[in-house]
Amino acid sequence: MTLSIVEKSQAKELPNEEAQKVLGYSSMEEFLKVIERRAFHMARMATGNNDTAMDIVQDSMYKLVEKYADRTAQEWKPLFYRILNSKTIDYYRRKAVRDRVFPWSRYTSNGDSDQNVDIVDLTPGRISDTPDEMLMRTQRIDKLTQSVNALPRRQREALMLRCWEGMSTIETAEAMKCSQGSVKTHYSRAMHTLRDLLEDYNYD
Amino acid sequence: MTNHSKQTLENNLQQDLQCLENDTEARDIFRLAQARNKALSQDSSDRKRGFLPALSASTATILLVAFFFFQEAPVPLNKETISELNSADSAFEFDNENIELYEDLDFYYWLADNEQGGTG
Repeated sequence: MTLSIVEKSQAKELPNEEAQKVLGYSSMEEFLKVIERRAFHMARMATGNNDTAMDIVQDSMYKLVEKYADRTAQEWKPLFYRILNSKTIDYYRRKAVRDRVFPWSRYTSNGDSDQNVDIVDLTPGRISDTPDEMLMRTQRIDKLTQSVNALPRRQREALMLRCWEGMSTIETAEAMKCSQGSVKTHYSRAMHTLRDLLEDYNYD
Repeated sequence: MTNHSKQTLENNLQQDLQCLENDTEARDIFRLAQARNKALSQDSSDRKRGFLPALSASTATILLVAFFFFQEAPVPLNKETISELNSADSAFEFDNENIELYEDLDFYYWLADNEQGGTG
């Protein structure tokens, strides 16, 4: 559920209950339901691993509920993404240390193993598309995932929050703990890089 | 990059990212729901856990305050209490004299008899 910047700025001025209605969630549970899949894919793009992404999302949800459940609904989204980003950074740090101490682990722990995976689990959520459409979309999304993965961390964060989550520059700056100018720079660079990387896929 | 091409690229990216979100595997959706429930349930259980020590600490504080507050207060020293104390002391002294008198009563009877005999 992506809201326009106007709706969000209106929500800031509204009383708490009405703002929650505008945002599309009225409780912490609803908020987590709205955000969880997107957060999972963002974490997966950042880490390249399903299980790690799941752990990061779970830890972020846990911390949000534990520390910030009493905040207003408008604050949850930037807070959640700030937690998600810091958890992702923690993961990079731990991974860097682990790779230094156990150099062989980088060859065994990266990526997801498709062994012992139930074929039912691999069934995509939508079945209405024709096989050709599904294949094309899968290829395009794979390419997009790779390209996003290739972006520097800050550019990727800015892209995810601005483009995917539809957050305003102010909210993104709050979530990324940086200035609005930095957000604009990161986002612009990310878009330029993606445009070059996805040239073959007729994005223009 | 022109504004128009940037907008188109943004729209296409948004569309594909939305597809990616919609095509989340059933296994991952299930695990996310589990994670969500776990996160939400820790909220109430932690609050309950945090409530007990807080309750016991506040009860102990109230009991301590009550103990010190309702403890028997010392009697203030004024004229009345001082005179009461003096009279109690004098009564005690008087009682002591009487006891000595009763203990030596036989001697006094003998002395009286002798005096009466001597004079009579």
